Amino acid sequence: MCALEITQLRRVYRRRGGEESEALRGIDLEVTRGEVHGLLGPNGAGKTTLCKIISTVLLPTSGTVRVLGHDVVTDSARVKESLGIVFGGDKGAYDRLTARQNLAFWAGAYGLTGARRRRRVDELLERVGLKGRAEERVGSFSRGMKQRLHLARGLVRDPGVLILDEPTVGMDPVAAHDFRALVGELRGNGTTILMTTHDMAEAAALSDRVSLIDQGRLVLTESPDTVGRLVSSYERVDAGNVPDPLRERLAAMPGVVSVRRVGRAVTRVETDDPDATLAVLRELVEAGIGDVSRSTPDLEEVYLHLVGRRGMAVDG
Amino acid sequence: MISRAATTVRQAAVLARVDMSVIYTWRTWLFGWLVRLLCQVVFYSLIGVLVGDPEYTVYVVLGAAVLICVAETMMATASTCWDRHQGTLGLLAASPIEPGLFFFGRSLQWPASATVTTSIALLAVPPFFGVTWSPWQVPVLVGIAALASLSGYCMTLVLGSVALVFSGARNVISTIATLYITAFCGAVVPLHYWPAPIRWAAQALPATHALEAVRLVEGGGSAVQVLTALGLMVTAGLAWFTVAFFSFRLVFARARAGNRLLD
Repeated sequence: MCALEITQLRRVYRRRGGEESEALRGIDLEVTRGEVHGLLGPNGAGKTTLCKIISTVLLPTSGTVRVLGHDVVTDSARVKESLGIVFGGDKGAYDRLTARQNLAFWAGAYGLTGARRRRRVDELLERVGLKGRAEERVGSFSRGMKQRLHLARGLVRDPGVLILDEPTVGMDPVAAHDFRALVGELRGNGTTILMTTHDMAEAAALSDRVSLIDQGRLVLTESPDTVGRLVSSYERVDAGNVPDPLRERLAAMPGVVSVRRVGRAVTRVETDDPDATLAVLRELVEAGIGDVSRSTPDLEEVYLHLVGRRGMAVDG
Repeated sequence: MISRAATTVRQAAVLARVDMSVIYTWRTWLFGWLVRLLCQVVFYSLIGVLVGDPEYTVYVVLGAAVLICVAETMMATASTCWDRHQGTLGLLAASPIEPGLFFFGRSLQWPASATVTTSIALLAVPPFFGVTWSPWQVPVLVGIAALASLSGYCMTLVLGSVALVFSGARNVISTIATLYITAFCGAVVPLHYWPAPIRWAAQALPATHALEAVRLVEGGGSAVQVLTALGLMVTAGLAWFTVAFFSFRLVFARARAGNRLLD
């Protein structure tokens, strides 16, 4: 059974002056129960808008979203009860309260009272490694510690579906490692997780399936293995001291995706076809270039190929 | 259902208590805040003295003392916006919390403090301006102060729900509201001075009835008269609370439609 069913989801923002901006353009996605689903995309791709709609914070313009069978528009009360949310960033905790008071507050908000609430708060503080800092005001916490607290807050109700929006932002490597272990534990308990991230390695390591989202559209939804195969279909050749006329010839060759400088004297040629890689190598050797190496790009580079190289530009 | 509502208010009140403990120590509250409020009462009362009318002096000293609970509970207009700045509104919207109940508990520090400051102002300052209280009047005045603070707080919550949307104008909203209440509730300007429509509108202000109750206690009014004034004050408070309850729901519903309030 599906934990999350998203059908033809659209979200349009209306700005001042009547201008419209389409954040989501007909998203279709199904996440089965117990699945960890990674959602990758650049800034402004629509990841957070999608998370907000699923978590009932935002209404869709059209289309439907069902969480464990409950519609986020017509049955939002049931959705709220069965969903845990962790939004990334510094904000979202009561800085003047201690970590324990923060968790107790949210546990109360989700209907836990008395000894049950105390037990749950203790359990979560232990689980995210904040037990020793439980009585300190959250305002004095580092970003990583706040992020751990956010994670604990998202788990207060032991949710069936957990939405993690950039959960490891600001975490140090040790905390991020612990976080991954925690996600593995939650997966073992049957929790469905939708996780947005910029970290390709994290998505590949944790997710059963990965979706790439760009400009409000799903570019692909595949298993990390399939994405890995996609990665291996791309290759790159680094060569030293390549003259400009040769660079132009390489760029014009079939199967060559890009030719660019990556250092003062190094030119990187990226291909999406092994035959093209061989042709590039041959061309370089015939031109007398001896400083040549061949490698495969990481998931991040493939991702950039798929969504296009827009640099730091954020879509409006 | 009722226990969940009580839990929401209680949990939000923890935020109120902690906020209060961060804003004031008992020393800064006692020697800073309370003294500042008492000076305000004395200042208004001296106007009565300068006018040279002992009756008006009593009128103003009681009015100024009751206005303290208006001024202090009005702070809920700003504190309602704190969640917006804290970035917790989105999480509240995504949780099963009823926003009206949450915000009722969220700023309870102000009516609690106002009950104490107004009581002290009512009991301590008027004797210097010719008013004497008998022992039985003390608990009555404290009770009036408590109900006036709570009723006034409910009215402020409505302003708070507006300030939540226009948070940049929160202080302007509370300042204008305080000005209007001061002018029209009968604190310093007798109610009969104003035209009928304003007199009618003033009936919606809990402070109007709180003042009437205090003046009845001071002037030897009957218990029925005092209770009637208190009943009207509580009714006004409940009406404001109802408006605030639905106003917060509306604010959250509109935010869900996408006005970036919950970002």
